[in-house]
Order: sequence, then structure tokens, then C-alpha cells
Amino acid sequence: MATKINVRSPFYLNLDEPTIPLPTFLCGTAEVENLSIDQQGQISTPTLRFGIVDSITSTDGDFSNGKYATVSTATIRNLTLRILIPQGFSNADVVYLDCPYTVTQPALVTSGPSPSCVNGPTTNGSIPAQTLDVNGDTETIDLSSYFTQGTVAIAGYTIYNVSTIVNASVSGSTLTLSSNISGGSTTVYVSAYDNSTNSCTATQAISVTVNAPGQTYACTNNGIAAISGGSIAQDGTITNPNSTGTITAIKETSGGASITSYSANNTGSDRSVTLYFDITAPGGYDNAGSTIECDLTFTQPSDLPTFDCNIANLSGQQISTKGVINSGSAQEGTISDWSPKSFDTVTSDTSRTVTFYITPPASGYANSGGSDITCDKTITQPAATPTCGSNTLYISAPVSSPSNFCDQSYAVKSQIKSTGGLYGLGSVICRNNSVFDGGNFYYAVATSQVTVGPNYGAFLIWQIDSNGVIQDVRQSNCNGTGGDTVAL
Amino acid sequence: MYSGIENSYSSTDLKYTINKNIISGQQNIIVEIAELVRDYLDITFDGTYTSSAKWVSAVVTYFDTDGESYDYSNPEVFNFVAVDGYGYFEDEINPELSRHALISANNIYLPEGTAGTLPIFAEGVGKVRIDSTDTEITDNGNSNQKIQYITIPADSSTIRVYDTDDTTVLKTITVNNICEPKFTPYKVVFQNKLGALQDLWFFKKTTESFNVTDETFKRNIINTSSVSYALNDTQNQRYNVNGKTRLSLNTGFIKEDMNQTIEELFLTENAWIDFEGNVLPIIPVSKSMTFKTSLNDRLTDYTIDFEFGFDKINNIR
Repeated sequence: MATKINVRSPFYLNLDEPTIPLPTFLCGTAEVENLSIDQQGQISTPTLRFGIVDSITSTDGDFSNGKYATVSTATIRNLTLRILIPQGFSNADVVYLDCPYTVTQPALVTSGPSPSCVNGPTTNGSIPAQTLDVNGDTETIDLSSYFTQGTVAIAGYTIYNVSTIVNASVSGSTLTLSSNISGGSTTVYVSAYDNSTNSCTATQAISVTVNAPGQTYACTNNGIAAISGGSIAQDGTITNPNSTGTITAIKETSGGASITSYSANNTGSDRSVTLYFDITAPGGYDNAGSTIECDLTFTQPSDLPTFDCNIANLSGQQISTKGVINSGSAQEGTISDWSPKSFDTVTSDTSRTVTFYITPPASGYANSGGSDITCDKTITQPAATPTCGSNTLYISAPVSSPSNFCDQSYAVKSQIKSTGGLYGLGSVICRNNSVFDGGNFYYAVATSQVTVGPNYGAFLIWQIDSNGVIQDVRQSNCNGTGGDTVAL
Repeated sequence: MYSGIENSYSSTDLKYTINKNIISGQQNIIVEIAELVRDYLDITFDGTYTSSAKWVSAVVTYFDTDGESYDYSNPEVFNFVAVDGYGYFEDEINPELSRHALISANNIYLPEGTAGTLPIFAEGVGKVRIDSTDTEITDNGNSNQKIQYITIPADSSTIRVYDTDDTTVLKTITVNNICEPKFTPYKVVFQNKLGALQDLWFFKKTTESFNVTDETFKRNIINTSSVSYALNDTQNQRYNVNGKTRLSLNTGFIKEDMNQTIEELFLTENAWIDFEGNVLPIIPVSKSMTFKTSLNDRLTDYTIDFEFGFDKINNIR
């Protein structure tokens, strides 16, 4: 909606120096790692490069209280991670993004001819429900009386708590629950494990209610809004806001009829839309289970966003010493081509501009299905005879996949020189005073001669191309499956 | 500056190119554009109410201290809808003013049995309800749709202007239908503070007067051969004779709320009168105004003098 100016009075354009546009936070931006489901159906706490996991939900029928039921055969699970968008992204005001993932839940078979695990602790009775008051009330539970060891002693306990209303921690065999400032109810899971190979774990569910005595659940509770975030797309699709209660209905007017979507915005300009939400008050409040109505105002865009270079967010583009272009990747869209295809070698580091052609995603943008967009990127082409760096480091033998380092132990003992440090993506590696042909394989790297692999600590992995340029830097700890490598 | 759809400008619409360096120690650049824009707004009225709004796109290219253009957010385009309105001192800098009904007062006076017009800014209005009849406002994005003139049916009583949500009432206007059996009411159309054409009816006595301007020079009327002059020859020759007609119009009794409308009439640069079957340009020649209030004056009415915006004798060459 354009500003109206009344030209009989002065109108001043106030022009500020342009600021670098903020990138759009997308599911891929989060770079979710270590998302897995264990044999008890408990979902691991994933690590994210950007954003914070607000909640994990699933439409699978046996998903309840933030976990799945155990399964006798490995099962593919559909999860939705609600990721809180951090500041520094253009869509931070949307607050969160729901991102779908699929993860395979391993089987839990404790008996029969082919058990998935054997022995291990077992449960002993049930842990009673716990009730706390808001604002730091605590309860402690001696877990040792609720689990029985298997063939060997219980080595420890893990906690599974997806709620923000209560904090849970374990010290030795003592579980401590402490409340936060919001009331409600949730279930906390505690699993006992031992150190036997392929041992089963045992899990107890603890029902926890956090009461807010004398408090009535309202649209703002202790300074926290009952609803925040959400959006209305141009076509009227409503994404519900985050809520500390349960949203049961959306309405256009206060007390009006329930709707599932809003009218498309074809006005040619953005418009402000206020929606009213029926929210069921969570447990713990005086009005638990009753419905309150809160409103939230959204800006409904007039058009789908245009897919552009900022959204494409090219990364990993490089030029080898021989002038060959590595096309890298795009966060959104697909790189279909680039020009030129190569450059001549140079005797000193030279700045090059490469035009990348990017096909917009099939939907979701005004130019979806349209022509490729072009994005120029300036890349430095290293000199053909690079000065080998002076940083002495050690690398292992090559492997074809980062996860291979977790199959067996590898000695990191071959001395190299690097123009950068351990995290020097794009640095040039030399061995014996000439560029090291890494063949695009992966190498474990360290500052001294060490051994890496299972039962060793965390270590770094480089992918080195045929020009000796580090193309990827990863970290691995060989816990879990697939080496658990994390791109850095 | 251009008409049509927002952002539909071409190279021929480029009116000004301005270069300005940032002042050392400052973080921004200020450019005043209204004065430049105003040259390209055409204000006309021939009896038909049309939108005079135009699009203004300020295409700003930023350069760094080395003279290199930024490779992001560059150029930046600022789009505006320009109307020939104005803000008061109290409206502060860059006044945008009303984005719905384009009249300041909450009253409209019409002769009984006569339809009227209400100017609105279409972008900010969802519907207009006149008595119980709703008129949905649509805006196809064209500049000629930005200011729309809604017909007020004869003998209406209340107008409600709604926000784009069609539920929020932004302005309620009372239509006062005046029975004037004695005098002939005259309709003056003027460009108001909000840049729209507004009707103002003068119901009471109208006085027409006439002022003449001329010059004279001394003629030499002597006949040198007979050394005489004729008695019927004029010595003082009159020339450049022309005249201007003035009208003195009376509003009749109006509500104090209409003071702001009278004030805007005094400050207008463009006004017309529907006079004897023609739409003729007029100029308010009354230069001072004393606001009348019901407290001080009990009843409020105004007498305003106008002059036709042309000479009596056609001397257009």
C-alpha cells in the first residue's frame, strides 16, 4: 500500500544507507542434525545450526506425549519440528516454522529368537504423578526404587522432557523436577540403561502437573502471550500461532463462526487481518479446560514472494586453481547451469564473477514454474601455484564417506601444510611442498598425530578436492548412526 | 510520475534526476520531492469528478564512498500516491492525512431533492453505507481509481465510511437536506485540504457585482492644417478596458463543524461554480475569516466573496 503524499506540503524522502538484506529462514536453514528415535520411541534432542526446537509433533497414530510407542519392526516416522526462527532472518516475526522430517524408529524386541536388545534394566512399579506450583517449585524422586537392574548394574538415567512448563534433571539416581512460570500438565519420561553391549533400556512415564494457584489462564500469563507467531498466506491459508494452550477454533470476528482459512488477498496491497482464536486453558490454572478467546493481527501479503537470489542463498561455490568451477548448492531452488564454465589459470588470487542460473521451486513463489533466475557471485580463483600454507596439521587415510571413520580406527599421522586452520573451509592443502590431490575424499584431521574412530573423542573431517582445496569441514563423534557428522 | 498501475512507469515518465552526496557525519540523505511532483498534477473540473492522483516512483540508487553502486537493495523503489492536498503545521512533517473519506467535516449540506458527491481514498475504504445501502469500493490499482467520488442519493441522511475489513466505521457523515424556497442555491466545487474535489452549497442570498479596469492616454487631437480640433474628439482615450464579475455568496446557517470546510475553501487554489448552466472557475477573494461558533454567535453562517477566474471581455489570445 503506497504512501499518500499531499504535495502542497513538503514531503521528504529520508534515505538511509542500504543494509544487507536478511536471509529467509527455511527448514533447510536450520541444518537439523542428530534427529533420531531410540528403541523406546523417544525422540532425540536434535542439534540445529540456526533456530531452536520449540516442539516435535507427529501425525502418526501412536505418537503421544512427545514419543512413539515401541515397535517390533523398524518403522519410518513422520515428525514435524516446530523451529523458533531466530533474529537476523527476514521472517523472524513469523516466530516459528514447521518442518517435516522422516526418521526410522528401530525395533524393540526383547524376547524371541531375534531380539533387538537383550537384558538391561526393567521397571519396578510406577512413578506416581507429581504436582508442583509455578515459579520454581521442585520435587525429587529416587529413581533407584522404580527400576530393577538387569544382568549388570544400572549405569545411569536419561530424561525425555519435551515440555517447557517443567525442567527435569537427574543426578545419580535422583530426579529433580522444577516448575517454570507457566502452568499446565505434561509427561516426563525417564529411562534407565546399563553399559552392556546391546542392552535394552527401561522407561517410566511421570505425569507432571504444574498448578498456578489463583491464576486464571488469559491471553497474557505472567507476561507470556497465550498465542504468538502464525501467519496468513496470500491465498488465505492460516498457519496457527504458537500457543501455551490448545487452539480449538479460528474466527474472523469475536464470537463468530469457526473458519479454517481466510479469503485470498487480491487487493494488490498487503492488508492487516485480525483473527480470533478459541484456546482451551491448560491444566494447572483455575479455569483449566475452559475456553478463552484471544485475537492476533497478521499482515496478509498481496502476492506470493518472488524467488530471488537472496532466497536462493548460494553457498559452497568455488573455483579451483585450474579454473574449474564448483557449482556448490542453493538453499532454495536448483542450480541448473552457470557461466562461464571455467577460467584460465592465474598466477595470483583473482576475483571472478560467475553467473548461476537457478530454477525456482515448483511452488510457493510468484515465479514458480517460470524462467530461471540469474545470480552473479564473486568467487576468488586461487593462483595456479599457490603458496603452501605454514600451518602444520595431520590427516588420515582417505575414505569415501564421513561415516566410514566410525567403522574402525584410523591413524591421523600424515603431515600436511595448510593455508588455513582446522576449520579452514577453502584453504589449500600441500604435502611435500606441492598441492595435495585429495580426490574429493574425506580425511580425518588433527593438530597432532592421533587416532580417531569408535570409542575415541570427537574429531574433524575434511573433504579435499583434486586441487587441494578443502570443500567440506565436518565434525564427528561416532555416536549414534552414520557417524553423526555435522557440517560446520 | 505516471498514471495507470503502480510500477508501470517507463523511461518517458522520468521527470527529474537528482544527485546528492551524504553530508560528512550524517547517516542519511533527505530529498524534498513534493514541490517537484506538484508540477505534474493536473487539477481540472468540467462538471465531472475525476481522480487527479498520480503515481510517483522514486528510484533510488545508492553508491558507496568509492562511487560504486551497492550490489544489494539497489536500486530501491519508493512508490507514492500523489494528491494535491496539504497538511497544517500541526499535522507535522510528511502528512499523509486521511486515507478514507476525503472531506474534513462530518456534515454535508445539500438542497432537498439533490444528489451529492463524497470523495474517498479507495485504498483505505472497504465500503460506504449511505443510510442502509452499501456500496462496495473496489480499486483495480489504477491511479484513476485512487480518489473515487461516491454519489449521495437525494435526501439521504447518514453516510458511514468503513475500513477495508468492511466492519470498522472510520467516519460518519451527516447529510443535511436544506429546503430553500426563496433563494437559488449555488454549488461551489473546490479542491480541499485532502486533495479531492468537494462540494459546498451556498443557499442564501447571492449578490453579483462588476468591477471594471481601464487605462487612458492623452491624444493629440489638433488639426495642424486648420489649426483647430473637433469638439467631438476625445482628448483622454480609454483603452485596455475589461471587467471582472464578483459574486457574494451566503452559506445560510450551518453547523460549527463546517468551519474547517470554509477554512479549506479560503485556502484552495482551485474552485468552480455551477453558474447559469456552466461550470466556471472562481477565485475566493475574501482574505480574512472570523470563525463563528454557536457559543459566540449562536447561529453560524458565512458570506464569502468570489471573483470569476476570467475577464468579462474575452481577451484570450
